[in-house]
Amino acid sequence: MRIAVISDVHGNLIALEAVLADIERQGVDAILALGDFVSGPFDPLGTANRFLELDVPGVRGNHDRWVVEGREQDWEVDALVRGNLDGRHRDWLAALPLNRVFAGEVFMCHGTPSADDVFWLDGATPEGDVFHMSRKAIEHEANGFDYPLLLCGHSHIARTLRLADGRLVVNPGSVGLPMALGSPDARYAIVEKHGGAWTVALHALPYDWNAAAAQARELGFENWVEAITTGWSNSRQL
Amino acid sequence: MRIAVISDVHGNRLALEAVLDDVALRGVDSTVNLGDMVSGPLEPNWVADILMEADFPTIRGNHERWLIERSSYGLDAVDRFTMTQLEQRHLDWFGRLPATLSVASEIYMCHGTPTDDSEPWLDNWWRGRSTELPDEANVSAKADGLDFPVLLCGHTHLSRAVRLRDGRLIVNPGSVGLQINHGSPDARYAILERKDGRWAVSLRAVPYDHAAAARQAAANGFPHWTEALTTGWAGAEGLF
Repeated sequence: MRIAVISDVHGNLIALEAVLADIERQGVDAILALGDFVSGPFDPLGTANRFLELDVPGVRGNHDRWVVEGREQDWEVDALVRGNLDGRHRDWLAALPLNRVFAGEVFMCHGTPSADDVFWLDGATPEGDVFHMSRKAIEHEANGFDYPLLLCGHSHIARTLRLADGRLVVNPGSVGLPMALGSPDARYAIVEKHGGAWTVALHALPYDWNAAAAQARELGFENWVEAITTGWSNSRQL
Repeated sequence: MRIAVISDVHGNRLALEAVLDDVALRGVDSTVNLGDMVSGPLEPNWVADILMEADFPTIRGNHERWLIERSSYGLDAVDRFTMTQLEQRHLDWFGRLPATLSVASEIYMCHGTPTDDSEPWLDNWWRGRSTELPDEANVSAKADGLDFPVLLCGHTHLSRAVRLRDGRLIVNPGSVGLQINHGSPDARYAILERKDGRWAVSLRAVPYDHAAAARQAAANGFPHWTEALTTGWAGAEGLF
């Protein structure tokens, strides 16, 4: 079984199309999506429409929840996106589960298995610096989720890690909003089961990030240009 | 064009076999090898034979350099073990390997950085063994003057793909045989692929029988390699 894993598209339809074409070329049995679909100053409407058409198994991200429900300290990007979507898109986002299991053995979540806004494999300091979580903290979050393959997103940091009992945790990184990895490439993963064991390929794919940056600039988000064209920015700079 | 990149095998036959099987499964046009092939308390002799015979474009790592330059008194415990396992033909081969190499005018290979086989490039690896990406100026400066679309490095055992502002891609495939500091015992390597004139990369993690590898290390007198080989969480301190 070969599965493509995409996460944190953040409304970047240009990056998403590049990744989908790359996945198509390789051939997979399924595509799974880990949330934060639309929140970015690129093409949230086009991205939402594309996902409605794709109809792939997905879980909700913290930003998907905030786009639907709002929150006390609304983020201007979530507000912008909310204004772009219609009822169909909101219904789709509102119906996304916190977590789900695919094919009986692949567990999907956005942040950790039990929260969509908590970091799992990598965290960020209040200044936005990224750090690898401790073994103890990572193992703790996985307690009670007994699936051979656990998928998460949220940090935008691509990583694959194995728990003490052999369960594999994979974060594919972000399709549409590279952060703190020093590369503007779109990130995604392909996981594949061979002889009972899962192998992982973490992909970094060049695409037309200047076109995506132009969309952000057009919408008045000049501060996203550096992040989208270099991948060196961190979350505090957005 | 698809190119597999292996590095830092460190004498781990079982990991190398799993990676070469996976490479065969994926299909590539060629494989390149970034050094530190044999220094490990596992099966350095077998690894040296297989990699010599494979005749991949290969550079030497700091450990190959030490094996041919230093007397046995100057070697660490792991390299002293390694030396007892190797044949003269392996050392002769190491002596012929370059420190850096370019392939097909597109791919530049070094072990640490372009100027130093013992220096980390994409990780602040010597500061408390942290795995942070250094800042952009630091990473970019080391690529000055190297006019290749892809720059490859190893040494830190941490897989990463960084792209400079001018589009050049720097890739560290991670280590085939010795996992440290990242929390996974799986063997690592990378596949580069040129698509529409631009290079993309996949950083791969392949499970193998790491418990058997740890048993080999323990049987050879290096039980302290167990944590690194079986979990990938150990730091490099005290391994060599």
